[in-house]
Amino acid sequence: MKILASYNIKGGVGKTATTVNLAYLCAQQGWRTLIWDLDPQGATSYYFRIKPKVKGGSKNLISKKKIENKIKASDYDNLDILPADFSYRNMDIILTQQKKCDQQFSVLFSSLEDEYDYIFMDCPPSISLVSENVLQAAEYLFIPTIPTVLSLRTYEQLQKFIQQHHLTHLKLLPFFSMVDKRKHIHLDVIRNAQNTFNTLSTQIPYAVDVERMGIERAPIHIFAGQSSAAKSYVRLWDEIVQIIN
Amino acid sequence: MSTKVDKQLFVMPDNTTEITTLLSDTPIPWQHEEQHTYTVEYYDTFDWRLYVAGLSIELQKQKQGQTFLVCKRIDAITAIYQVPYTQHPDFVWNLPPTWHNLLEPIIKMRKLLPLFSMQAKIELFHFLNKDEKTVARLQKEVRIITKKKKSKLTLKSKEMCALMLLPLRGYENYWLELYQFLHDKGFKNTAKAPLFLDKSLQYLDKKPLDYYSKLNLTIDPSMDAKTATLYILQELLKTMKANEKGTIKNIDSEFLHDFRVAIRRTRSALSQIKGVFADNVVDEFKQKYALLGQWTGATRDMDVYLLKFSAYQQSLPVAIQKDLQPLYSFLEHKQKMEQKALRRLLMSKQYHDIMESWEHFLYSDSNYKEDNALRPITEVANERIWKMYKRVVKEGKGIYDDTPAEALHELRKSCKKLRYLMEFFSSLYDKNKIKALIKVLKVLQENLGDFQDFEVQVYHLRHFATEMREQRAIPVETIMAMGVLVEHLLAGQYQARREFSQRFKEFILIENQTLFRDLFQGAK
Ligand SMILES: Nc1ncnc2c1ncn2[C@@H]1O[C@H](COP(=O)(O)OP(=O)(O)OP(=O)(O)O)[C@@H](O)[C@H]1O
Ligand SMILES: [Mg+2]
Repeated sequence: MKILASYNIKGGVGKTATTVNLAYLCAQQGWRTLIWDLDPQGATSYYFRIKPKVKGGSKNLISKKKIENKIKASDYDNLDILPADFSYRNMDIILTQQKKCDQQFSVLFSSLEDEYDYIFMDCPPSISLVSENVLQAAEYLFIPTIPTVLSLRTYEQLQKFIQQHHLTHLKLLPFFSMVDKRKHIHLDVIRNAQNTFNTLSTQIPYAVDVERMGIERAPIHIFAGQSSAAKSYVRLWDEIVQIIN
Repeated sequence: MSTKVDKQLFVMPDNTTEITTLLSDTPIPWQHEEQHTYTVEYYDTFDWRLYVAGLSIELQKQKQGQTFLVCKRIDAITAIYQVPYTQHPDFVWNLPPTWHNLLEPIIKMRKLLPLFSMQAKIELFHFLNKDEKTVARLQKEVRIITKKKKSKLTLKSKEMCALMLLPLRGYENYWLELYQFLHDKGFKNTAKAPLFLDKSLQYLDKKPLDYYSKLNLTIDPSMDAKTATLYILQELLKTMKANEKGTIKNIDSEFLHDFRVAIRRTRSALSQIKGVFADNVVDEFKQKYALLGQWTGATRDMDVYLLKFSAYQQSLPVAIQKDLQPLYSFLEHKQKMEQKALRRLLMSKQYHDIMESWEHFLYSDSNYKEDNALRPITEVANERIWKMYKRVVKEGKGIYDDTPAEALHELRKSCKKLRYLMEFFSSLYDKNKIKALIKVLKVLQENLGDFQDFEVQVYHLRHFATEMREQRAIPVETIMAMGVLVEHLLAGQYQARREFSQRFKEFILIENQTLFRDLFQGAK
């Protein structure tokens, strides 16, 4: 079982779009895939038309460590969702009450070992006990990054945080997201950063088709499979699979 | 609350019911996905390994659309695995990696072959909640199997139909509601999946397990020795014939393997069931079969090394594993050459003549004047097995820690003869007892087999290294990695030699001796 997470301290960078599309592609290849929508706002759940509601909320999930009966099937083969819940906004408090409070997610996932090949976590922005749990449990981190100077600084902050916390098992996979080829500043930043930051070679373009996911409420490949954005997600997933294996 | 969903299926004896009318007043709105037509091709190995394990693999080709590879339990409705697929399934290592855990131990080295194909029409009804999320599905599946009428060019076909209510995880309540609805409409339900596969095989007159690689002989105790021996040899000939084509085409390595086992058994039966056929006949065919054994040996060796290769590689320290790779290419090439030679031999007139003379002998009525020919087979079997058993015990007892290797090789051969005899005649004895004794013998054989195999492997690897160097520049690293491998194999052989005395002690435990005596000498 491989555990992946889409994470960035910054908000609105394409974390959720990445999770939804990559997890869909992963499931399409026959891997039994689970997404955990960790954002109390429930964007991922929304894209899959699943109520952002988990029986018993964070408390039941974390302290009872029962996850199986909260999972919902998506409309697609091999792809299940552990939905968001509004109570996730208080998850930090519940996590604090546990022993080894930064390793609770790892414990939770251990019971899913036989059921899934891949677990994707879609994280809310910010650094919190929730995100520390994510960083402990995950093996690979997708980091969608908008090509601006400030975004790169945020990425450096994350690198530093990971170093300080000795999260040596984590493999960081930063890539550029919402790239607008017409913006010189984007191209400049990319040119300068690609070597220093060791970003993936695939870039996700800024595209209306990605925005349309909110209207269609489906992964991009369902309604715009031939679009260039859809194809770039396919390339991104191929590149990540290469790295993972 | 989680609802246990086990009865998913509704019986639909024919294809006349109009589903859309039926669903006009469902409690939950639905969306109709237009009917898809598929060609469904079933796959299994030559010896039905999937079927025996209760599994099926089907390739579902959508007309003008995607192709899916689906793995199911034969009696289940939903797939265990389902992936878009663009090739034809062949070997387990080429299947999607997710499938390996389940299927590797079942299929092993065998190739998946197409069994038959049929048409499928699948109509899906998606039940949707307020958010237009699918919460349950109803699937109507019609399968049409077609066959040619005997001796005519006309086609005949049979239709099978099923209606399945498929639950979605986390939405079982909707399923329950719909289940009740269909039930009230008068649909009978059943927990069992429609056995499309079984019914189709029946319809096509295909018999599952028409080939089974384990020896499965039923000998009537009242038979005389000649009848029983002829029967054994005829069955072995059938096995050879069944594997001939696959061996020539090299479909997978198991054809040649089974082909060779049948050759060895034939030789063993000829020489070990003594006093049944005239000496000159026995000598003639022993020679012919020795020749067949020789012809097939080299290719089998290469097959074995190719199969062992990944284990070889993994036995090395990670840092030098990749150094071994040139050996693989070498083996692969060599296997191809040997296979080519074998193919030529098996298509030669000489081979054809050997088989024809053998078949003629087995099926022609001749006079049997030898001493044992007309004695009851039970007597002859008892005698032969008992004698061979005593020989094994005697040979084994003569082996000490410093006895040279030859003695162990001799013992290994005797054990093999004993094993074949016990297997030929196992139906004459109490099933559990003979099984238990074969198991006891097998443990000893494994030890002797290891001892010999390791030695042969070392010998071969040294030869390979020489050959590889003669052929072209081979990296020093590869030769060194092979050296490490040889060291492991020698250690393995040493280990097997050390374990021998303990294994043999177990083999001749008093209770085992008593069992052997009771079973094969009971009559005396
Ligand atoms: N490549 C893209 N092109 C155009 N719009 C995009 C692209 N990727 C994401 N968006 C849009 O940007 C918004 C934010 O994207 P998304 O929700 O994926 O980011 P996020 O990092 O998960 O945000 P949050 O931090 O709020 O969770 C959404 O409206 C989405 O439709
Ligand atoms: Mg988000």
